[in-house]
Amino acid sequence: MPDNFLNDDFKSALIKKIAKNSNTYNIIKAGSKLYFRKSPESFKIWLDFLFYQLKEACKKRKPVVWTNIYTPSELFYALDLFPIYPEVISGVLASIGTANYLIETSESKFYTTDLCSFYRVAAGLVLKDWFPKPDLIISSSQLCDGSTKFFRNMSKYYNCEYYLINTPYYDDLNSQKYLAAQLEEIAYKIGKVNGQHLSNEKINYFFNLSNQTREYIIKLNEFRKNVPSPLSGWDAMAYILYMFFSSLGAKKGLRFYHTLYQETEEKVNRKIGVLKEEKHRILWLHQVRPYYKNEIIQNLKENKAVISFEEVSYVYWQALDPQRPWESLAQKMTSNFGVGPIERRIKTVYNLVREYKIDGVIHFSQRGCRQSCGGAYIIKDFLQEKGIPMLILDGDGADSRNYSKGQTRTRIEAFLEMLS
Amino acid sequence: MKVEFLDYICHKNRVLETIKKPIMGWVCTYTPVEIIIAAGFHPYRIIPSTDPSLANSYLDSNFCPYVRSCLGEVLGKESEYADNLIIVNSCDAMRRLYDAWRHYVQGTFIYLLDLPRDNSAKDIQYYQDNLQSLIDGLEEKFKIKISEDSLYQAISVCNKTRELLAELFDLYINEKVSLSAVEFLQIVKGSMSFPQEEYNGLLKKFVKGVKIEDKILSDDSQIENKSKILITGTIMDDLSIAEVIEDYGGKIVFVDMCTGNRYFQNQIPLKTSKKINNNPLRLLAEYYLSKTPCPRMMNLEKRWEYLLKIIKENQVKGVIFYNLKFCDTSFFELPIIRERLQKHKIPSLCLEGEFTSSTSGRIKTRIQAFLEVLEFAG
Repeated sequence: MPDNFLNDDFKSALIKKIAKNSNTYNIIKAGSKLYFRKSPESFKIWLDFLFYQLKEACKKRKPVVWTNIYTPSELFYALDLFPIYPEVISGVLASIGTANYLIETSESKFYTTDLCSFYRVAAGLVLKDWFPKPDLIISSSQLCDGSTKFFRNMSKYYNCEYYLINTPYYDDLNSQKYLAAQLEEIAYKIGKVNGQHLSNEKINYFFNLSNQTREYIIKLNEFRKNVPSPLSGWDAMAYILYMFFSSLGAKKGLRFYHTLYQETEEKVNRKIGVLKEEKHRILWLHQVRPYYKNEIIQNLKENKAVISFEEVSYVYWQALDPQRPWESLAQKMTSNFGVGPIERRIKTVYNLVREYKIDGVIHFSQRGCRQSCGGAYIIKDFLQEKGIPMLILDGDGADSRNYSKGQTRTRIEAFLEMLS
Repeated sequence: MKVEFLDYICHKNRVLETIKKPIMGWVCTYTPVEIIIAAGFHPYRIIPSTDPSLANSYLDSNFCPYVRSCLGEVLGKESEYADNLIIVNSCDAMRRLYDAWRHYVQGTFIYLLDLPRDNSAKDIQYYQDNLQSLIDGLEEKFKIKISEDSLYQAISVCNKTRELLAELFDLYINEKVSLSAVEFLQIVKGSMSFPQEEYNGLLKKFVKGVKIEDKILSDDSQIENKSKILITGTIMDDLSIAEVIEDYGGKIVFVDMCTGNRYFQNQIPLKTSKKINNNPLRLLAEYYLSKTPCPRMMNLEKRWEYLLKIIKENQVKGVIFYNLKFCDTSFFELPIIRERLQKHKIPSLCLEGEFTSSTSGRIKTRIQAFLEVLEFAG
């Protein structure tokens, strides 16, 4: 779909009407099922989940909450809220070629080009009013500054309640206490509004679902240590990542990961790899990759390189403890290796390099992302000392205008040549 | 007298020569300088004059130019303030500066102080706990004891600086003294680097002096003929921006920046609080979290109300946003504030700073055009 196919008010009004109608997603879902009938079962479960989410965002049988990727989804499922992740939706929109139009919309309203493109796409979506309004917004300040401000702004546009969960810098008891108190207060306030009392049974149920899912992710990640790589990191950073962030605590999430685990187990048993010949095993750093049409994966494939693992899929948190719900969720948040000093991330990256038999590391420097890019040189210097090459690949996850095909290819090829 | 004073405070080397105590650098106005003073250090705001690109091999080039410039300035050379530094967790760039400084500059005491984003009771308690941890860290590292009395004394010294700057600002804004915006901002900047007590003495003398010298100006003010401008943003890296505004007929009536009015607004209520035996760290936590929030904080309505109040009280004709490039917190604030300004029919101009020493021709032209529009609009 060309980026400029939508250019007048009529089309925009039509899209708004279609996008906000829950039947639209039933129809697309039916079409997708047919189109992707030969795809793996796990992919089809994701499609089901995606369209279910979009449908429910329109139908609003439960209060819809907009949130960001590192706010624990278990909290929402336990509170009987329906979480929607605008950043993830931006990725989906980029993949179907509508991102740049929305980016231009947000730019016309002073969202400058230096800001994270995922938020610029989402802001465009809101400014165009192409997505159903949330009932409330809850976001954490986990990892990045942009998200807190983006969600705050959206709450102003929609005139809805906004709760910020301020994630502390240090992973210590006092920080966890501060964080746990915030989570408990938010749950209490929401409970008062929607009449949902957070019983121990509920907490048990949703935390157990999350813990079971977590077990499957860990087992899946274990499979991915195999040579040849049974699962492409490129896919893991697309639909699988969607589930990683939004489905913990949901029955569909457990089903998805159980299925994906079985599919991967079969590949491992039959020694089926992503590539017929695997020469270079790559670790991808950063939460995202480009979602618009690009040639990066082809560039890697042509040079027999596979993304064996990506830091974002690493399970850094302990199983949740239903007896201490708030402390447990707080611990999950502060144990994220991206929070706090860079040494935590370096340690995780170095462990992943060894465990996944990595030949080279690519840090995708998403333009507009300060938190990750700001540490890239320190990680590179550390890995260099250990004899592990790292490429800092500048690019953009959602704004294709910042993607240079030739330059990206040259840089990847030069890097892979060095690995040889 | 004015010339001598400005000449004296503007020479960085001279400032550094004046300092007799060990230096503790700081980079964000949410740093409780009172604790640094009470610990026996000299608090020195790092405002570098180095090209940010010098740090390009250590920090991404799509990164706050102030932070890159700070790092660039201390890399590869002896620096008086490289050893001890308190960084506040005010943004992603600062967090990474903390990492980069430890890795590439190292130093003796490089500390990151976590900062909440609001001022609820929980936030204040959390920040107070963090201030206590900072004190514990200082005491342990330097084998010192920071007493409550020394904290109260430091609060009092810093209050005096804020009081004097506020008094001078009042004279400047009402054109009771012959002081340009650039000169005033230089004085504010000086107060962040000079030994505080000595500076208070100099400033007090200066304020008294200019009041007498420039008394005649009070009847000769041209302020009503000028377009009143509010500047809002992060750090004014290049003071000549203010000069250009004045040259083209504007009068800066408020500088909502951490190197401007935000630095000296309000005071810590020492006398009344002491009576009820308050903890000095509590006072500091309350003060820093309750002062007018910078764009990094979350209370947008408080910021908007405060900006609107300034606009109304000063009959501001136009607002200039001056943000350093890649400052996410400021640029995310821009769409909402600009939209509200438009509703109030207040024209605004958005400029991006890159921490370079001279104003580009493009920026000058844009300021000139903006002021012409304001003048035309009457």
